[in-house]
Amino acid sequence: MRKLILIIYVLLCCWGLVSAQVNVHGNIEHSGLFGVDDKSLGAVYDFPYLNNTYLSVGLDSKYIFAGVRIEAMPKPLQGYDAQFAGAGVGNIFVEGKYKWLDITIGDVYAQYGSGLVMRLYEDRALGVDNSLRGGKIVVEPYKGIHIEAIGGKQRVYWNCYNSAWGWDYTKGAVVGSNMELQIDQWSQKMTDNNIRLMVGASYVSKYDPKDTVYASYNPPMIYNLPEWTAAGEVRSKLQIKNWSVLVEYAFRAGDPSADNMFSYRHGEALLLSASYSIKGMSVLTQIKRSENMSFRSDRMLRGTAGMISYLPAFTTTHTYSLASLYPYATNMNGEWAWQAEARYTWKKNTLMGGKYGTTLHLNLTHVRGLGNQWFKVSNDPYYTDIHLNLSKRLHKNWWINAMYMYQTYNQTIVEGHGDLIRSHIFVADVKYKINDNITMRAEAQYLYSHHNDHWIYGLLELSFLKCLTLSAADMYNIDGENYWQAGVAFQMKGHRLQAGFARQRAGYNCQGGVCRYVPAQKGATLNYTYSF
Amino acid sequence: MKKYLYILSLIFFAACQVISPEEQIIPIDQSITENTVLLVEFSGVGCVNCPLAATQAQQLSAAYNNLTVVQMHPKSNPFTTAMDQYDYTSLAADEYYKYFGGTASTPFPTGVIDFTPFGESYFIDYTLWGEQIIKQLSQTPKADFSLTTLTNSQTRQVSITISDLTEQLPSGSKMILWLTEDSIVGAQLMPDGSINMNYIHNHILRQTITDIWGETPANTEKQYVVPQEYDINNCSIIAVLLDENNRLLATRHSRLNPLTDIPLTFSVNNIGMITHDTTIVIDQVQLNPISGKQEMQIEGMMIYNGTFSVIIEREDILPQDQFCCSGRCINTNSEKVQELSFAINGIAEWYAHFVAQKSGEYKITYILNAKSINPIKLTVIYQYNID
Repeated sequence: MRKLILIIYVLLCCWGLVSAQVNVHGNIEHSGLFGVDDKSLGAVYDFPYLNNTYLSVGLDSKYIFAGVRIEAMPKPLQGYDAQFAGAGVGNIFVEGKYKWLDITIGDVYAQYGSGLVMRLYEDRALGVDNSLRGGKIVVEPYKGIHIEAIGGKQRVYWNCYNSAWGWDYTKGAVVGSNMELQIDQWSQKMTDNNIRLMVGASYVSKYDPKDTVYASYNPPMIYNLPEWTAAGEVRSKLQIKNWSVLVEYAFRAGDPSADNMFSYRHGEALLLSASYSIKGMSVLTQIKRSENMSFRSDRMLRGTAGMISYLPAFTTTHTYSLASLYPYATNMNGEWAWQAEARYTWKKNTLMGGKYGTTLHLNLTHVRGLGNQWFKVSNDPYYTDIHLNLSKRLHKNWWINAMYMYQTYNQTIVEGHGDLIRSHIFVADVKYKINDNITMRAEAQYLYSHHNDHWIYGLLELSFLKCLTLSAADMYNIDGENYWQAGVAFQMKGHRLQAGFARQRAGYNCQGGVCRYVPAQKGATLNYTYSF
Repeated sequence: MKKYLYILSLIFFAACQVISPEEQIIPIDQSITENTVLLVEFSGVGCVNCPLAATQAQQLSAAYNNLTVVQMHPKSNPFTTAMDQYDYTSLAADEYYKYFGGTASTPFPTGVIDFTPFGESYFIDYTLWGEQIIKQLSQTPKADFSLTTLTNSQTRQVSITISDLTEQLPSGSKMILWLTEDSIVGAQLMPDGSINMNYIHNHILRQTITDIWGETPANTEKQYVVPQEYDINNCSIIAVLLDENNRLLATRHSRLNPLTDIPLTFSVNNIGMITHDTTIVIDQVQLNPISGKQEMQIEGMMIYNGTFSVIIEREDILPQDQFCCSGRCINTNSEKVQELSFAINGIAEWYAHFVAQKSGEYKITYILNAKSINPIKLTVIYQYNID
């Protein structure tokens, strides 16, 4: 690792001498918690200060780009796997671009299509960083042709420190290739008629050395596990003026793993999406069927570690607290998911639009398990989200956002325990601009559950001079559970400092179907970010 | 260019291995030693995949005698929240769990083998237990000892004996004793999402008999009373020997078996305990107020849990009946040799009443057989005189 850093440093210095114009950018992010024991909440801390810190620095010039990210988590925040504890270089790369060729050496990310066979990304809130340490080549030899190849060893916590140069391919590797053809770029007629057609194909293969996994002990028998497993995907997207249709199909060869109880069955996913949008209106509908599509670089891993593939959730990521009380996580074993969404904006100075315009957003999401035949669904609903959202500016200084949501959440399927929860959620979010320097925002939310689990939530926020924000919120359960928080945030010139004190219930932090469990906590929080 | 593309496509398409159905499961050679291994299974009633791990543990336990399995339910993990009136959590489970780095968000099911981390973490996914346990079973034993238990079902007292302890143990070693219980019927969330109210929980850690982190190991005998709330017939004592770094040196388990732990004690009124071959002369004829007959009698007590048999041999055929009783009388027949079986749970009366038509000397031999004793021959000479 030290050798790699030294080489990159030397290269950068050389390039710095050659090129007079190097832009430096980056950011610092620090999140910390001074925990306070609360036995009634189940929050007990054996260390006074838990924190995650990230420092990213990027150097850009005309042909060369480089970056490094240093991570320090001596005692990670709760909900992050204990194996994240430690400090070091989490990401480092050098990229060279010249005309139609782009080469990256170091830690690389990529996404092919919707990510059904490969999505390598970083999401700190989820504790996900599944980059490959190796290299990536992107070739665009002609307009409309995009070819990409990638290869390396996947990052799993701090495994990059297990060998001298930062990777050990004897322990596993991932290779991938992707090609996309933008056909419309070869046809002037298509371009003139506002028709865009893309066809693409991807292929990913992983090398995972055999593990000894017992199928039985008497007599002793083990699974004969494949060392090479591949997945492929084809996709096409057609856009004609305001219409857009996307088709994606992915197939994965048999990959016995801890996720699927060492089944040798293949996996597949089909995604169909159609949308129509014009100014002031958009409609989207999409459907997805996935089965046994967990694809990891290490077959024995669980949770969010070592994932190569990604299955989009088709569910809305809500920002309102009660609406996000029960977030859905994509079921790796298989599911049918359907989503329809419509958005309409009445123009200002119309009957429905009023003086400033009105936007209505309707979303319907339904997820079920797989049935005993390909086109059939199971009797168990996994998740339903029907919500209607109204956004309106009532007055020069008044804005309102109101939402009604009906939700069903199969807690057993998603969390491994619990029941089928049905809820009605009502949200009113009002913003009032008192003057040019002070803005007030208030939220009121109510959740009625058929499970007799009713919640009330209130938030009050005051912003001063666009740089200082005071907030206080409380979430109260009819059974007497009370979770509150208060905080202050200050931002100026790229700096943002936020401090607060909170008593928080356990829950899930989800983004795009990937979730991280966050245990209940109480204490003072400190967050600082700076971008330069 | 074409040639390179062809080679590249070959590489990519070759990078996929498909295993035919008949080759998916293959045999493996094992070399198991006398080493003992401890699997601590962390589980919870609200954990949907925990029954799968429990099945895995059960299969391993059945296949390998030197494996000791203990299931712990730590309170600090939300999967252990009780779903019915039974709470399987314990302070000790929580203490060990936190020591291993367990938190509220540690995924379940999981396990720890030999109190030892493998790689970065103590916790091992249940799909890897088999491989790691068999590896450990193939290692050279670091230490050894014997564990025996003797249980009195009446008093619920268990005598726990540690013996043959390896002499040269690392300084700072300790011995922990646990009480575990099997066959507890209660609620459990199952992999299909249903709740099985009649799930059978096994290997549950109930109590630590020593301190949570044990005491100085020694060849010793310890007395322990099993609390009333646990079914003594389903309990086991687990002994865990740790080194100064809390890594396992050896472990043993002993199932409490009150049915056979108490040796048969047999006594005759006015004679005393019969522990070896004995001859008794009965020369007093007594009137039985119930039957109204002149009888020769011997009466006594037995303390036992189990089944014993008695062989009755008569030198002379008796014209009248004789009874052999242990709580329930069995009418003896006129055969010269007769074998009877009795089951006793605790204390029972024993008596033989003899009636004959004429005065004389009658010799009857009773041979008592029970699991915990050598056969005892009781010869009774009845000097019957009704003239």
